[in-house]
Amino acid sequence: MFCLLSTAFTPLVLPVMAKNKADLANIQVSQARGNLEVSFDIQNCFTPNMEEAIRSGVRTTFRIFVVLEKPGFSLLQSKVLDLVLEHSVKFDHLKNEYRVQLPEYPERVRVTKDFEEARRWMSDVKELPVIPLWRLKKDQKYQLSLKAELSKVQLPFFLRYIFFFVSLWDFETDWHKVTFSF
Amino acid sequence: MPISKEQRRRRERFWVVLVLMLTSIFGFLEGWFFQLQSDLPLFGNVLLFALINLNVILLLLLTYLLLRNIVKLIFERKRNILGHKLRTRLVCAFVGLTLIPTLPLFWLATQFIFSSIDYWFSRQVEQSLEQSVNLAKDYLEQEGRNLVFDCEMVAKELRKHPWIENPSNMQAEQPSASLPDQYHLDGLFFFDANGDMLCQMQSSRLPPVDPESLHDMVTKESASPSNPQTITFESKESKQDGLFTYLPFPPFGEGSQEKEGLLIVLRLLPAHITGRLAAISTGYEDYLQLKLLHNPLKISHFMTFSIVTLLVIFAAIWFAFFLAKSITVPIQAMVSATQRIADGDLNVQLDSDRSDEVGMLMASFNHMVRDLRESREQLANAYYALKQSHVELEDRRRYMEIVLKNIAAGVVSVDASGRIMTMNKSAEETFGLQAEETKGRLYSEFLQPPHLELVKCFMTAYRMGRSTYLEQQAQVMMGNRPMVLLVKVSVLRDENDQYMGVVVVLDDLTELEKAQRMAAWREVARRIAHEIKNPLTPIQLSAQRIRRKHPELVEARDSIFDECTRTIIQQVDHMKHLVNEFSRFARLPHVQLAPCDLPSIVEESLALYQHTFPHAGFKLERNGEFPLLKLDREQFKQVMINLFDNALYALDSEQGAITVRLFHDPILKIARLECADSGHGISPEDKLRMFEPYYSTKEKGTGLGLAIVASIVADHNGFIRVRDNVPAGTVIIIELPG
Repeated sequence: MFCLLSTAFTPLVLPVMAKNKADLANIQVSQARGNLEVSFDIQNCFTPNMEEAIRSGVRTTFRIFVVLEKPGFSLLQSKVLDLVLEHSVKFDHLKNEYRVQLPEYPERVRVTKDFEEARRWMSDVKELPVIPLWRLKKDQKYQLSLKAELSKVQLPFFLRYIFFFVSLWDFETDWHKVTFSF
Repeated sequence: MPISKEQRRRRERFWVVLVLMLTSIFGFLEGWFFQLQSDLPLFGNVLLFALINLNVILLLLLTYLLLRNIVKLIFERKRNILGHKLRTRLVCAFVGLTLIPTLPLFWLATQFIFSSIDYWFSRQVEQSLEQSVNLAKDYLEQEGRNLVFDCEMVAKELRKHPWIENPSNMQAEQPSASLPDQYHLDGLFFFDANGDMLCQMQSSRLPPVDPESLHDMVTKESASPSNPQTITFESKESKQDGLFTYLPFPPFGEGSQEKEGLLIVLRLLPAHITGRLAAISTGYEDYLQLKLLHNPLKISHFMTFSIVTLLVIFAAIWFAFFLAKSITVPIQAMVSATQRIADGDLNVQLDSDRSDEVGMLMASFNHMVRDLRESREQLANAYYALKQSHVELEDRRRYMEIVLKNIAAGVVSVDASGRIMTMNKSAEETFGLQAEETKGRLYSEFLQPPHLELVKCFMTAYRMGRSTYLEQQAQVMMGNRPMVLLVKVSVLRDENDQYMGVVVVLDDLTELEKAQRMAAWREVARRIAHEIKNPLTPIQLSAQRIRRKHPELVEARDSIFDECTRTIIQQVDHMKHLVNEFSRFARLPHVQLAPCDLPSIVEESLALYQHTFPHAGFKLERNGEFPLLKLDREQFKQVMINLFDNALYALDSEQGAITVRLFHDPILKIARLECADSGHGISPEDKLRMFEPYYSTKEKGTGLGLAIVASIVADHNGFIRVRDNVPAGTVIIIELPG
């Protein structure tokens, strides 16, 4: 009986374990148009369940954490920038199109009928302006930390208790750090 | 301060009740939140999480308590503690009674929920929703196609209009403002090849729209003219959706043959239609999301039911433990108390503060034990008093027994029916019976006819005198031994004057009478000797003087004188001898005791007679070693001579046998000498008096021989008695302390 209880309550007690092996790849830091820009891909971030959920109309959001700091001992590190970006996608059944909101294109919603394209828009970060170059000091080492995770899926409230018992999908990449001098 | 068991139990009970109450309250709150669909995402999540986890914690606490009780029960079973069987049965019964409805209910509920969930996601429902979505799509597509068609018609109208030849001419007449109304359009925007707006027509329904941004949307998104796009106009008050499309306009105007214009038309969708379309879309999305959660929903409901079922089962088990404990603990205490009472410990008191039937039972038990204790104390006191009384009685009885046993007189008690109840040792010796044999039997079975005659005399005397005390001296034969008894009879009556029997006291006066007779005879002998001996000497001297004075008379032939004086002298001698005998009897010297060998005395005496009287057949028989006895040798020779004289007289000069037997009993320390002859024997009357002085059956006997023997034996602390010899003759028995 106790074993049954332990089994039953495991999802409640332990953190959610069902994670993909998502990762960041092709990280490129560059200077362009007077800004420090970063580009990278989020790989393995889509699972069949997640794709099915997106096609079912569930709004899905990736949260991308960008932290720029001067390297040093952990207590002495000073953050220059702490940024959170969100890529979100929502499928419109009436028009059979994916509506993707990207911070890179803040003025409009990108619309496509191709799921692969929507996936690409969601997982690719292209030439994201991080900080104006004038805010950076010359010959100063900087460390850019990047991480992506899936925002909690928003369900109707009366169904949210389900996630206390089961986990549908989730991902969270490790922190990726790039050190550079300007 | 140590916590008592009762306090601990109350505390446990309090916690369990609190846990159950909190679980119920929180469960109710969770249900309330779900039903109201509170729109507080963060707070709701945190609260929900907290509530569920609190529930789980409480459930775990309840589980801990249950497991603890179960483990305790197992240990009690292993240690065979009193009451574990009943507790186990009660717990098993409760668990069974709980499981019987709970498990089927659990199964039914889960199946019902599962089938309901499956029904929600049935193919029919899905198809219906898909059809409605398709319908909405068709509507939008139809609206789109209409818009495209209208757009083309508007383009045709515009191409025919003279204004199109020179749109920059401000003087030229522009297309009619009714053109949008004519085609049910809400907006019409006409741009030249450079993107400059040449013409703009808007209906009053259309909210303000930025034509530039509209132009950008068309050109930058590379939208298809055949595929109208939606546009949403949002304001504080309302939200309106519309469709817009564009159509590249062929080169127009002078000098711009290669340049294309752009016609954008926009039509607002009816608000009630767009609302319904949104509802259809949202409903379908919700359905798909629910479908996505089909299995998780089942799992979560299964979990919920499992938790509730476990809660119910655990609560029932705990209640079973509680109830079992409330029943078994008093029973256990009572059984333990009963065992203690059975072991004799009545200082048992059951502690109970319960007011139910069990409490009443325990109070009654305590009352019963208290009564029992008081009764036992009273009983113990009574027993102690009785024991004291018994001890006293027993002491008295023993004292009486000792007195009776040691009393010289024989005591016999007879009950009202004539049965012998007691007989003391002296009476046993007198009658030659054993008290154990006679007890409870009729006295008539043991008494001889002469004795019964004596009893009759007493009874006659009692009837005549009604005196409760009778006394009579009697000479009786006990066996072959004559005895003189003083018989005293006391009639026993109880306090109600009921006859209870008699007590007979027998005083043996035989020896006393003998002694008295002996003393009397000695006195007679002394007086006779004194009175007769004195005149005898003068008589003899006178006769002798006469003879000396008158020798002639003596010497004369056939002289009477001589004969008479001689006779006087002889008779006087004889009388002197007689008197001397009496005198010696009267003045027997004190015995001089010294260790002597009795057999040698006997042999010496026998030697005197064996040769003289060979017809008598003297014989000595002895048995084993014979110790030295303290005797007066000379006096005992006299005893033997007297005995042999009597035996020879009994043989009457005829052939016979005189046997002397010597025995010694080392245990009783008695030396016995028996002198048996085969003569004519002695009559019973003679036996009574044969040891008295001057009692003789001989013609010339003095009657002092056996009297002297008896006197000497008495001086040696011995006993002498006589019995008949078998087949003929007499045996005189002398017993001496050895």
